[in-house]
Amino acid sequence: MSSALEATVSDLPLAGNYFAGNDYLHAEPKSGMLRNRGGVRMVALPDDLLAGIYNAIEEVAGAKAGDVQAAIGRRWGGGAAEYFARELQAFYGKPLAELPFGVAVTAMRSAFRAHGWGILHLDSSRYATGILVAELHHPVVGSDVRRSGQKVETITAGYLAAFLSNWAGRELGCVQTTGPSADAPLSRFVITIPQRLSLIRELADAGSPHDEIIAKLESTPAE
Amino acid sequence: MNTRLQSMARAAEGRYFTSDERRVLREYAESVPHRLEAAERVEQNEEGILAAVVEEMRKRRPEFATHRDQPWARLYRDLQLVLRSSTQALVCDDERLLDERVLYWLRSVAAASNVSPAFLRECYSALRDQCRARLPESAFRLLAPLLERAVEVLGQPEHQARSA
Repeated sequence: MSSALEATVSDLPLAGNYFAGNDYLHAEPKSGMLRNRGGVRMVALPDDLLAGIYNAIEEVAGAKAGDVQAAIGRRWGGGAAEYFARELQAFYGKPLAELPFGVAVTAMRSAFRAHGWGILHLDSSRYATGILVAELHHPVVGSDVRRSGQKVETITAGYLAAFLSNWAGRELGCVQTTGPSADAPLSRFVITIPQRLSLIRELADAGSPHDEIIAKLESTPAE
Repeated sequence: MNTRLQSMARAAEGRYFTSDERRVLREYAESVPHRLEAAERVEQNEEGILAAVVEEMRKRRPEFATHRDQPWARLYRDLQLVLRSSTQALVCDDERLLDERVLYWLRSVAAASNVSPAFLRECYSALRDQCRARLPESAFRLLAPLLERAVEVLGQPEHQARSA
């Protein structure tokens, strides 16, 4: 290897998927605890418990249920973003901000898969206009919820908003536009600054098609 | 360590291994020295193999360097990761280890970085060909299925695999 190439190669991490299969989660039979490879305590959560949490919040909080669920998602997502950054830095030997964009996005996708949240695809093609779109195949709640015509993944939306706000270094909001509970094959979420989301929230609540919602957003200024 | 052996152990809950299962275990145990020998040959020849692949790709695809940060160094690192992980998978006789630790991840990273499946197919075919040229036949024979797996997975467009 040329000395010039060797100098730059040695600075690059030599590591693959942090969240790979058997490498990521470890059960500790003596303590009864499940931990990830970063030492964070994990809990296996059956999806009927998650559905139970959603339903209980609906029953108790009524009209405020969506706000409560979004708040849960935001707290969870904010914390997750911080330990995600810590774990990746320890694994790759570089802060998250210094990793190639492709590595960071793939790590987020792998994290979703490893935690059983579904298959995430982050569409950054409209990033220049301040819009991110997240697609979630086999979403954890949406797949098992009775079809009601409503989008129900408010915790996921809150999680995505907080997680991506941490990455972006500014507050972002998230609205779900499609989902299996509303007869779509997958869940879609739009992430942008809160002021722009207020323009499309009514459209999303009324069940407007995803593409129409995106077109409405794109017709408004980014800031 | 080996997914197939783990599955076998799980299936054997509460009983002894059958004669077929014992045969599989014995065959694997007897193959370990050959696998380790092959792994040592790969390690000894790694630098020559990887340098040759990068040089070949520089000549064939000079446009790859356009608008990319440290393209050839990053390519060297990715090839090194695939070669080392393929070698580990060879020792463990576990293709799934290669898939889960590196291949699916690297395919996603490449897609997010606008590296085409066609480029990856060409690059990892070159890796396979350099290994064939530089390794003893006995070592290459064990490594080849894993390198072919790399060509197959990395050469598949990400959108076709998104729901997989």
